[in-house]
Amino acid sequence: MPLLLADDYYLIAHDDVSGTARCGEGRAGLGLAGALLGELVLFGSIDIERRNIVILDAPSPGDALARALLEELLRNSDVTSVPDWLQYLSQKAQSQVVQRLLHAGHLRPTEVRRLLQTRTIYVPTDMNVAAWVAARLANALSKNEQLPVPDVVLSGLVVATELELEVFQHVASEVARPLRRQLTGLPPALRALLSETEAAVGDAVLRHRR
Amino acid sequence: MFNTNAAGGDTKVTSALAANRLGVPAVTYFAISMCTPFTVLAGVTTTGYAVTGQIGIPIGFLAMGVVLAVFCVGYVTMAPYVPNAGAFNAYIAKGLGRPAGVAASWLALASYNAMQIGVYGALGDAAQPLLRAWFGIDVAWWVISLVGWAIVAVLGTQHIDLNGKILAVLMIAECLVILVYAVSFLLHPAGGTVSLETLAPQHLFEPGVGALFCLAVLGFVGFETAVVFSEEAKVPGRTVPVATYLSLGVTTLLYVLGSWAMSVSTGPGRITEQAGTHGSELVFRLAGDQLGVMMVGIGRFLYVTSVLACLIAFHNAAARYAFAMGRERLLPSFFGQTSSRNSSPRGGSILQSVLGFVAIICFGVAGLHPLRDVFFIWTSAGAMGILLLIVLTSFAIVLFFARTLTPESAWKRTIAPVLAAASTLVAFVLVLANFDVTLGVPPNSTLHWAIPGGYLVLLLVGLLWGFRLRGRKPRVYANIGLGAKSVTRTGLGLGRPEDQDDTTEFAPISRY
Repeated sequence: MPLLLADDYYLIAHDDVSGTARCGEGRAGLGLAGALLGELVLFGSIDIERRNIVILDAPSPGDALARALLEELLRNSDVTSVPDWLQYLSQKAQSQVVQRLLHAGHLRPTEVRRLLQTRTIYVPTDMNVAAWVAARLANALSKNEQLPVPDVVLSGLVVATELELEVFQHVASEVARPLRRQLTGLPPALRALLSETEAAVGDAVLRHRR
Repeated sequence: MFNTNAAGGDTKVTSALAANRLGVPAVTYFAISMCTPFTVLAGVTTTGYAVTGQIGIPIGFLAMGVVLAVFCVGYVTMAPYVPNAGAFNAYIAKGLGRPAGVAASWLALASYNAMQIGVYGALGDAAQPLLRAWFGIDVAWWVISLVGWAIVAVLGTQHIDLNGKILAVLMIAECLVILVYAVSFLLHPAGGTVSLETLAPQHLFEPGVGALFCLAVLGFVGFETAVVFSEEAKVPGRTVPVATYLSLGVTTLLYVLGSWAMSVSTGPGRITEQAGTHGSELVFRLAGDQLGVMMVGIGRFLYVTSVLACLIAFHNAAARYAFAMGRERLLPSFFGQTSSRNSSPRGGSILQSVLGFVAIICFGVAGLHPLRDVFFIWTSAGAMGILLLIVLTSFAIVLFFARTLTPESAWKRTIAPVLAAASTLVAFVLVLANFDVTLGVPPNSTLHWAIPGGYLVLLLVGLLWGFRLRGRKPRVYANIGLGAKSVTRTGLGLGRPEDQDDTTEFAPISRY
């Protein structure tokens, strides 16, 4: 069974063996926030219009975290701006997605001793599953195959959070053009979400944010 | 199973977002620390007295402070309408058109880099006496500058907030020491009388007044940074204006007080001669006679840290300009990359470090004087470029509000911006005319015209480049001035979907 968008993104943004992050926490947080909202768009629960989230009348998503997030969106209907939600979710997306991956058995906690304290890091239980996510994208894109929509969004998040080199490695420059074409073919809500994620990553730099 | 509010109980999104927003004190600290007051007092003011031979520096600071305060009225009012507030070129692109925005980007990149290169000279000059006093060793200024360069190069790729708290403590210490020094200078006036001579307004009507304005701009650079927080201010429309005026007020007060007190202590008639003899040491000499060795040690130490803070500030400013240009694709996309560990602009940072390294080596080999030849010439050149940016920005503000209907008052929309445009233009023309006095070179010197000429060429080439982009690369053209909101990595843009002409319908979303 394929993983959900945020699970895929988490595995792609962390090393498949050591489980350490491939980019700074702020950037990964924004990527995960984008992925969580992306799941809701893919579930048909929300739409994005003019940089705002619109909640749609649709059957409840079939995932507990997505349902919880949708309820939170409903409870806080005074905040609809996508940049605000990305900012807010980026703070806690990491731990939520980790919980979901732990529950599904894709991660296991490991204690590592640093200089003075012990820290828990989460290591993929099966590094083939973790590595496969990146390989799947790179493989299809380098053969110029059409990816399924969730994978196009995933690749878009990779580009938006500047992880191309880590994910696509030696084919990074080769896949740039086919990927861009697939990205422009996405439905408006998903394109808007990717744009907002990329803008948030850049804004964090210009605004001295972590 | 998943409690989305697990972290902090029943937090509302609004309050969680509010907790991350910045209040007046944080933004004010930030803006003042960007100005690095002690560098201005010990470095800019003393060298200014010595090189220009003008004694009206205190009144020059006051006049420029007022002009910039008027400029800031329109500047902070327009900030919410500017996608990349905090960058002059974004204002200019919005008000004067995108080709002008391209030209302004080049100008900004050149000016901030020139500033940074110049300040490396000040570091050598500031640390030499400290090393002599503490360790009894004499080190060439450029060796010290290279050490500083290495520190800045490493910190530049780290995150600025890493050292934000340290910067705040140092900044407060700097301000206190300036106050202590100034009070002491005023209590020990030359000839027993406190002279108001250097504060007399008639100095603003003497030949060479442009030099005073150039120095003053040099001192105030950094005031423009507070608007970068417009979108995340605690009270939108209030926090950033208050912080901007507050930081401008505090720095004006410190500069006027400090430079005036210095002239009182030497006597207005002898200040230029004394500054010429002792350079930046003048401040510490005076303080040493009046306050003792302890206060001199503190002052010298803070001078060094202040120059270092100044280097970090300019380094980050230059790197962020390059980052925004990389995002807009006005520079290769490499400059729009974030460093892998944290949110710092890697490409711009590396560019700045390379330029700085080459410059220090060249100046060292050429045997230039760190304060007069390196610091003063290069930062004056940078200040002129930044003043030109301020002039262009103030015209952009006037035009923007003339064309756009917004709810603010006529004072904020029209009167203040027009006043600011007129006064900054006058200041710029004076700076241009007296640039030989600023640099302390004869009027027929090549430097007098080479620096403004260079800026002019840069502006013209930038303008042509902008028009060329309009025809050849309409997508890049559309992004000019948008900064991070240009969204060129995924190539999707941040406009409404209707604005994107290349939409192709695809298979419906596969529901999970």
